[in-house]
Amino acid sequence: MAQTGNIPAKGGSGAPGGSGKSITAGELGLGLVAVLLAFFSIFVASKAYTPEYAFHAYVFAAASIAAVFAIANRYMNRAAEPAPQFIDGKPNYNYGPVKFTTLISLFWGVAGFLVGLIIALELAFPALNFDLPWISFGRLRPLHTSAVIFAFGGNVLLATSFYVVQRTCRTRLAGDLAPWFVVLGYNLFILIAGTGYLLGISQGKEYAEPEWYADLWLTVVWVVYLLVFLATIWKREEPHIYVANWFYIAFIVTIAVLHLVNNTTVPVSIFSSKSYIVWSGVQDAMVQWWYGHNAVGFFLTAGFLAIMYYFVPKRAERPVYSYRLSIIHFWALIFMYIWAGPHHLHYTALPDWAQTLGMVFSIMLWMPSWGGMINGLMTLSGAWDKLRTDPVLRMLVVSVAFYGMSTFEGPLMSIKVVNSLSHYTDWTIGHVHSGALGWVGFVSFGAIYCLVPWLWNVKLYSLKLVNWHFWVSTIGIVVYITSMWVAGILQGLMWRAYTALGFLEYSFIETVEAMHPFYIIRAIGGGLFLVGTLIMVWNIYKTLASPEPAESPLGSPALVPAE
Amino acid sequence: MSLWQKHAIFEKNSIILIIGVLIMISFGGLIEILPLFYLKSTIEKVDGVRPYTPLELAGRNIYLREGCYNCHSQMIRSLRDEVERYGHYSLAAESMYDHPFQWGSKRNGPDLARVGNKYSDEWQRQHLNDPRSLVPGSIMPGYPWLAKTELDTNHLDQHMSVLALEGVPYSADMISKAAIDAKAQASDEDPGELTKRYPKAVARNFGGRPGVVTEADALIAYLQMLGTQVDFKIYDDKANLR
Amino acid sequence: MDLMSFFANAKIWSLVAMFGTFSLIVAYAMWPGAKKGFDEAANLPLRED
Repeated sequence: MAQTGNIPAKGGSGAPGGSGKSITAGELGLGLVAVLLAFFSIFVASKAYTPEYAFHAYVFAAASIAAVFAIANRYMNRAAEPAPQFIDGKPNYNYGPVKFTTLISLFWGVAGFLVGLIIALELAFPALNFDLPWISFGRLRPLHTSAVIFAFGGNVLLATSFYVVQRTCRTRLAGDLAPWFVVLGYNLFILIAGTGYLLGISQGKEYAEPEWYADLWLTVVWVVYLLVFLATIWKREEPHIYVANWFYIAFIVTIAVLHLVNNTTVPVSIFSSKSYIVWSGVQDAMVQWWYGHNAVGFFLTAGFLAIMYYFVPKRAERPVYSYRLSIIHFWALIFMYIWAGPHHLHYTALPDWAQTLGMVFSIMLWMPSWGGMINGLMTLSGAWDKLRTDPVLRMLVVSVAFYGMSTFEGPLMSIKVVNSLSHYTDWTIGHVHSGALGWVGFVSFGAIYCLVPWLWNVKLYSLKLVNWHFWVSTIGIVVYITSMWVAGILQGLMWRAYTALGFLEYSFIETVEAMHPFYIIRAIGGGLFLVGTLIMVWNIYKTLASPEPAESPLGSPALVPAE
Repeated sequence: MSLWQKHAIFEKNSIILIIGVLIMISFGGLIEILPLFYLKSTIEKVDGVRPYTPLELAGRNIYLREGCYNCHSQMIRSLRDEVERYGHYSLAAESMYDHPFQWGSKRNGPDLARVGNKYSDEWQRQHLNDPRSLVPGSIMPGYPWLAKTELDTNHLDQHMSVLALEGVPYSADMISKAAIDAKAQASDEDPGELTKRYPKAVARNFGGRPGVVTEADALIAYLQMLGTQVDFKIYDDKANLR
Repeated sequence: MDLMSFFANAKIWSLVAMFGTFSLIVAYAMWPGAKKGFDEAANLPLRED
């Protein structure tokens, strides 16, 4: 093995003269860890209690072996010197991991939306479950939620955060192998989690279904993610930390805390996929919705607000409307969001005071949310005409409008009397999707349409197709959320309807049957949204398959980046 | 680099930022979660609530595996129509041994908190096998594989040791007899010491296949005990005022 | 005051706590001397290299 004495410090300048390359500590260390993990995984697989768990152990083994080969291959092909930090005095940005996550987010997006469409159709036509375990609604629904939130949304956040932190710090991403470990490791987590649901491996906690070993793996990946992000900030060439990076930091740190507390679990055995959460009953309910609501607050809001604070000003070519407002927005948002969880538990066995706290803070949350929305929208002041000519900017702006709409609806639904009607119904589903499709989806699409030309230094294939995407998906969203509003309110009213004689008017199954037409309409809305996404994928494919060099310097980097 | 000294200060700024974030998010979490481990209304014990038998526990794990919580809540809210439709509102104590809780968030199907003893075993079997043969308007998937799959009782004792570690009162005796109790509860024959270990546990052939313990046995055993532990004729709800 | 009544009054003290925190945030953001730094930071995304 290589002599450890000769290993140059990671990111250092290396030996002058380049008398031949030496393996870095990172390459050696990560390679050895991967070898050990491969052997360990095969050992676990050989003794696994269930074939499903053995399969996952083999997946880990295969990924480890692939990692060893990738590291060796990279070592063979790379230059002796580490990638330079600067070329001609300009930062040598590391776009490799950004490109990877941008493209794979398209794949997960299509997959997640497609599974969503399938389960929407299963609710309308239950025969589509085909009596098969791995495609029954109960297993596919976690696959849908995880695929859109963690796979699509997560990869968009990885891509944009690694891009924004480099550009606003004007420095190359910290670490050599570490960023690749983060993006590949994260997608391995997605693969383990998703196949686990299909095979019936689930913790049974909403939005936290992956079992203990997947959680453990995600924890490792997440810590490295935080370190890469922080180390990049530490070596920045700018005195300031731009506000988008604040939001990214809050997102990374808080998700780590939430993940660790909500998934505190004891496995039955190292050879079993099953574990038992240490929390139980009412305490587990509170922990779960503290996690669940703040997954919305810090993953789907703070993370994507970071995207808004970089991409809207950049695309509109003007600074954010009020930097001061963005700071108030930031602190008020993270302070208030964390309290809002109990509004998922109104009228349950959770103590009344906790429900009230949850409600009060949820209503208050309306203010910082709208502060952020106003800040995003007003950034366009003086440049509203760009909305007519630039469909990408229109997509970003409409996403902010949807953010405003669902952050108004949310506080409304957290009021106890409203919640008594809306809870357990499809109104909640409609609310979630106005945020998820309108806000998270559109801001992500807008960022992807910006990123692809910037990263590859090419011209987007067709703005006309962006326009089509925008309209088809917008109509899809409107159809989706209006059908769910009607369905949810109707079902809530039917559940509490009384006859003149004081009996409950409807049996439960009658309220289910009443949902049928709305479930069909909802599936149509979701289908349109998927069609819009496919238009985008085609557009991106054409952009990269037959590239046209970027003509106008609208945000395109001046130099071709090394990876 | 000339900026280096400035950097040293700003380097700390990102740490200060993280500390600020941690303080901000700690407030809400701690104040809402910690008291639940001390307050009377959330930790009180109610007569009749007992840990799951091994068979019920295995059934519960199938409930988790199939993602039943995606469509069924187990939490009757203290609202007039819910109490009339499903029964007495749910008490915190009724889910005190639930690792994890299964209160749910959506009712594509009805609440199951008190579904125990509402339907016969045979109804449950047929309904799981083919829901629309009994309820034509149902949108529930069929689960025909449950009755065809033998229950894996091999490691139930390990499952119960973990739960004991987390505070569920399983005795060493209960843990060592896990597999025996699971098989005994799924049979029409004399369950032996089962009811000594688990008061009022009901033993019978839930799954309908004599001599074989199937996943249907376990799941139906679990469903049939849901919400049946507390006797609300003698439960004093005034003692639980919060 | 026992724990129970402490939490029964949650509406009141949480409002006070939140108002206090909010005041601090606003003071920090609106501090007159901070304007120059904020303007510089706001223009960070627009600078090209």
